[in-house]
Amino acid sequence: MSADPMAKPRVLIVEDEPHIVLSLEFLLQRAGYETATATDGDEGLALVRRLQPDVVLLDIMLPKRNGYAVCQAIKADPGLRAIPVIMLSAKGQEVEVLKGLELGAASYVTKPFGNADILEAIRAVLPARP
Amino acid sequence: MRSSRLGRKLAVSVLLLFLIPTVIAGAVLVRLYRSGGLADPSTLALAVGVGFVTMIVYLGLVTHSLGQLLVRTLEEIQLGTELMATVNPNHRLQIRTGDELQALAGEINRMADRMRDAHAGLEAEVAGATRGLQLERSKLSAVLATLGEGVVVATTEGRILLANLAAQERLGAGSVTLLGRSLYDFVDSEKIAHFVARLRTSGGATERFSLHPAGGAVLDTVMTPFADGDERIIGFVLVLRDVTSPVRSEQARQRNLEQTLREARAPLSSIRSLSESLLAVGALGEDSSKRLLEAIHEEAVRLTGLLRDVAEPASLASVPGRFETIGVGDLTAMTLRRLRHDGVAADAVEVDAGAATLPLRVEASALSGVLVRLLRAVLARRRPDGRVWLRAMPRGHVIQLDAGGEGEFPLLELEARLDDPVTPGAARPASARDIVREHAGEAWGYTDAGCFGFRITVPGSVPAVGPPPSPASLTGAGLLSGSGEGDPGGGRPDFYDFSLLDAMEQHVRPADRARPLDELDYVVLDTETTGLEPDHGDRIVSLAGVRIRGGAVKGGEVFDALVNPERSIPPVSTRLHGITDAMVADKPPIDVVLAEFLRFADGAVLVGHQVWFDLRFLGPAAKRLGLPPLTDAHPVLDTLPLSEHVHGPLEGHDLETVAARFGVAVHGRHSALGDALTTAGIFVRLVELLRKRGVVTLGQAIGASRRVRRRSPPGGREATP
Repeated sequence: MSADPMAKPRVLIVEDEPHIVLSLEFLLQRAGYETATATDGDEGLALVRRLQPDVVLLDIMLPKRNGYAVCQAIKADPGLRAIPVIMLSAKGQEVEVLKGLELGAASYVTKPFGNADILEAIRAVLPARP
Repeated sequence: MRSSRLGRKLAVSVLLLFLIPTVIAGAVLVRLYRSGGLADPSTLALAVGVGFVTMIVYLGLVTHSLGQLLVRTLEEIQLGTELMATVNPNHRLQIRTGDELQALAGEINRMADRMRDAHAGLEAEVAGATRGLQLERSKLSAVLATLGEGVVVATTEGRILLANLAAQERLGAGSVTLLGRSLYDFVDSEKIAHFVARLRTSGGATERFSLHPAGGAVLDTVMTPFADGDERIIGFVLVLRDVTSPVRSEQARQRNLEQTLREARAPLSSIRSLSESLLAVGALGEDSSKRLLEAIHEEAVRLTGLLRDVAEPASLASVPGRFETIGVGDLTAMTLRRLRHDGVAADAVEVDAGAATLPLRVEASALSGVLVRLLRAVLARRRPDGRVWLRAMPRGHVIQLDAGGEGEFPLLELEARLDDPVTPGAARPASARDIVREHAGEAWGYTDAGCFGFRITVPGSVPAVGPPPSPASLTGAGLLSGSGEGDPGGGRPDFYDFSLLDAMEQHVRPADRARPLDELDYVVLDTETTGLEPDHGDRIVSLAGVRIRGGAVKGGEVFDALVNPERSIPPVSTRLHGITDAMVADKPPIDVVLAEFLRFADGAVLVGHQVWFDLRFLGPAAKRLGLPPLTDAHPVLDTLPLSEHVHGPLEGHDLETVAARFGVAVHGRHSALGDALTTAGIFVRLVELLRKRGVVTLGQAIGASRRVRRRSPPGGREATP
């Protein structure tokens, strides 16, 4: 994670929909976050390990390894467990919300979302900054 | 004493018997005497000797002849009688002795005649009865053969006593007759046993559930028990309706719908987010461009709301006949029985008794199969003497089941277990995850602090009430919904006004209170409204009533009217009952409709499911018409507390659950007439069950309702404006 308190918080976006990636990158960069992007589950998990981001925006329906499995892997790794995961999904049903949160996600944003929803979710899970 | 012919014959014979030898012996002795032969001792000795021997021989011969005569006749009578009594009822004795033996034979012959006549009459009667029975049987066969539904009559041990061809097909028996076979060769005995047990304890008339014979069919099943002379349930009739095709097409439709909705969410999200970003950047100098972008953004927000509403989980549980309502405790018991049946030490499994009464809406056979599979995996991998549990807890609208234990199990292996086929031999092998998903649920493995296990979510039997749970009620973590709009949900409040009941009780005349329930006339009513708050401007948009007379729903006596609420109908309500502003624009207001309704309901007891909700809307209209409160003019009965009185507070008592329990067809939910018809069907069965519990008069029914008090969740009430 970013050691420098003045450094921009780093958000890893794991999402396979290019337009969503585009809109999230645009939104988050303008809001003062540094972003990185992975477009499938395996790449996402590798980037979590490598970049140690401050927060992960994690889609559920992903190629190779779905979001649940990525979240389980993050939460099963003592070195990564503390990184908050926000599930990002086209599935809005209660059971998926329940499952995501049970697997250790810090919160959940369902598509279609507004920009404010994303920013609020990220602010809610990031530690307070000086 | 009357002298008999036989006696005289015997006397003459005996006389002759002694007379003849005496005369002969006398003649011989006289002759010997004259010839002086008696002086010679040797001649005398010879004469005496010869006389003695002759006498013996003579006596022997005569006795033998007499005996022959008597015995032969008696023998003839005995053999003839035996013939008549056994193989030849038409044989008759032919004795011509002219004495009592002949008379005896004559009597026996007459008796045989009477017996033959009686027998012939009996045979004629039996033949008549048999013909009648055959006629009834052929009528029944004809009825059964023409029925689209499969019908099976079986003992509780599963032996099939009667089954029609449709049942043979439905159960996948092919051309093999079902008669005499075990029902449990075709369907899950555990499930049948469960519902028989439930009928035994509830005293209910029917149970409704689904059966899934090998081959993949889905049978919507209604079970009606029959009892012996001691009222013990000894068997049941199953009516099997094949819902495979509607279930499969509904499944496919829902999958398509879900897929489409899922795919629509991403582009919509992009459009909304991108337009928001562009607007925020303010890079568009020209006013017209900005206005256009604003329009795009507004449409995206609107679509967001629409999509969210459409995507409300239209659970598969709504497919009729697919799932049954069963308590967590019953599902757990079924699971443990299966484990024991498999030779697994199921006693090690700790069961959470507190959750036993939570009602599920599931296919019990498949789901208990899943739990058996998961618990076996846990039992196999727990640490020695580690605890194993099967727990249930309500999470929002769903119930989460936790099959876990103490020990270690790699997460990936746990997840793999969920994908193992649960029914390897079945036509369509399904994994635990597949089966849970068919229940619109999710399954996952977990490992946590020396514990591991599986969690699955399944639908509860109570339909969603009000807005979805806040994230805090799920796990305490945050949840953000993508839409900022308020939830339109809302629902018929968990509403029971005992003061109204008190008020009504004061107005029911003692004469009415004593009247038997099955002699009264009833009008079962239901309303659809603009919302839930009559005190805040919500109004009736539809009012319907159905009359029950002589214990039967009178299909021809129906009241059904749309009502102009004289205000707009919110879209959220329209979505529920389908009544739009345009449909009621030219309809009369409630004052007019209520007056007509009251004429229709004249002299009847008013009945409804949560009827106090309807009365709160109707009351103000009655007041405006200058009428006394409805509860003064009509006794009122509510099927909800009566259902609770019959089945206790722990069963679900919303309209659909009660209807399913009583095997009452649900007619188009959320139409006033449909719900009134459903409620009427429920009420007729309730009266029957109340009678068994000693509630036979109106007064007793009102008393029974009063004893039922509001209970706490999960027995939530249905939400309908």
